Amino acid sequence: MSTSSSSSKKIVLKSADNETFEIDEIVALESQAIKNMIEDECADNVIPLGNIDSKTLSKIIEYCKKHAESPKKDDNADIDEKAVEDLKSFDAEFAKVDMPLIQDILMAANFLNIDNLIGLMCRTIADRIKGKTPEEIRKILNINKNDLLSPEQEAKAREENSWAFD
Amino acid sequence: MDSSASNASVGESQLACSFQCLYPCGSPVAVFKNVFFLSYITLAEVLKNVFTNLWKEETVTEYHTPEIPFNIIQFEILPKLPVKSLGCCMCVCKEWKSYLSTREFVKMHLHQQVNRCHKLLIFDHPYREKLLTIRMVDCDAPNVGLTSVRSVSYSSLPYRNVLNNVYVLSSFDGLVCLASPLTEELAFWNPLTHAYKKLQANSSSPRFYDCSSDVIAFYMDSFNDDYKLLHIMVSNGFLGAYVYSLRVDSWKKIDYLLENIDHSDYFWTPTTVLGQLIYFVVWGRSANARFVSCFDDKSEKFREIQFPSLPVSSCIWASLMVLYGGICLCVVYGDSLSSMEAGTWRMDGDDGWVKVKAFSLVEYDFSLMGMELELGSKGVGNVFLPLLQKCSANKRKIEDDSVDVDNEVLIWSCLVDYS
Repeated sequence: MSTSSSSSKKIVLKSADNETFEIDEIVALESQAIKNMIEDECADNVIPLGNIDSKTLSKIIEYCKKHAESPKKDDNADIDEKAVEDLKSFDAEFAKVDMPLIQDILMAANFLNIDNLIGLMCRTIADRIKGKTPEEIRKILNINKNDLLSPEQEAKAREENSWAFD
Repeated sequence: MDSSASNASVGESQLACSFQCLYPCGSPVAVFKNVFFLSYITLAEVLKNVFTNLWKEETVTEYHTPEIPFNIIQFEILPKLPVKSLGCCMCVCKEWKSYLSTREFVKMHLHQQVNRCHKLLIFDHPYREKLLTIRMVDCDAPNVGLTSVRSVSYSSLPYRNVLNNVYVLSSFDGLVCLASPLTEELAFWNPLTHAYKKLQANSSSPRFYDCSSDVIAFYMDSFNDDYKLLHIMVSNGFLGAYVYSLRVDSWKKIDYLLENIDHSDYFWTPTTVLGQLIYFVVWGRSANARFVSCFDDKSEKFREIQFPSLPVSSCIWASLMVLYGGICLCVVYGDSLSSMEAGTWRMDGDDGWVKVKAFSLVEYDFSLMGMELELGSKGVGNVFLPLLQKCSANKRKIEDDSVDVDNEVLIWSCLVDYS
């Protein structure tokens, strides 16, 4: 496949549940991983994404479309302030989803190497665990570790960090 | 789910039949009751099936949503949290607790905090007989005024008896250096967690801090990853310096800065830290004895930087601050009080100066400057000048509302990084 065709070139992504998404190449290039694949000419007609389900993938495409459309910061110095605000409010709306989906998007963005999206999801998660108790944080992040503190250790840790609990 | 429900209803009738077979002689009522009883059991079975299926489905989703890898939590999520949340995170699990306790994390957190703000920490005695009050003013919300003032309990201080004053000497990385004149002790104190460390005295310790003459700098020796305190003072005609290292918890004496000087002829400003260098202004009564002293924390040596040339020789006040990413010197000069001027110079290269701003005192708010002069002369000067630049509205608030103190009483204040 040639990479020198026009900018309207399409890329097809296939989710884990075999749904296909046809998107403009420019949108797909938001993902550093796909960009590398295309540059190395190892992107076939269809890029299979075996670990991303269609619900997550459609969210990711929504994000990439918006960000691909928006003028890039390095395009010119006096970037349209309205566009920046618009992108900000899009990001804020985009992040208003439940925790499992946030986690899925984060993992997928990590896999696809979409830096801005990783940052957005991590900021969202940080905002959600801000001001929460240790139990709530474990629940939000679905932490079922075997290395939880023993009740005595936890009491001690709470005592040491009592300033954080009032 | 539907199929299991219909299976269950089949199972129910089967069970009911078998019941009748087993207990042919039972009274119809009893049979009727027992059938009910049995259908409860079967219902329970059905529900159990349903729940098992649901639970299975849930496990499947959990399988799809694995835990966030610890490296993302480590490098992308935890550093974005405010300090207070980190206290709770310490109790989440052992892995988090040990990670959050590392020096590497603390450093990363300090560097990554985008919401870092400055708070003005004020210690004062509103009335002479009353206890010391400690207040925090949010410098980034200048219009909030008094509502942003938070009182800190004095019981959280490292000193028992706070009826006597406590000096706030300097702040770095959100930590504050305090001094208690009563016990002649210095301490590093965290105003958020109230953790503290009293500085150990040894044979090379300087005498106790004298607020009328000494200069203190609290800084980080990033080469050795060590918090240090530089104490500059005059004794026996020498301007000398001492450095305290937190890592080894001891003092050492370093080279003299000036020799054979008369203490009463010299003044110093508080220190300003930029990177590995510590600056302060020294000036004597004669015009040529005026310079910026620069201490390099790596070589532990002082260097003199001459003042920019001023149109008149009498300099009233000078102060340093970090502005435009470099060291700036603000000087107020003039021959008489009625014709004073002020200017700001940015340090250019090692020893040169570029004038960035000039103002005559007609446009300069003289009442504010009086305040700055007064506080400056008490050893906290460079706190107020940056504030003036950054949020003059807030400065007024501080002047009007919080610092309405009797002028005889020392007010100690410093800017603290807060996240």
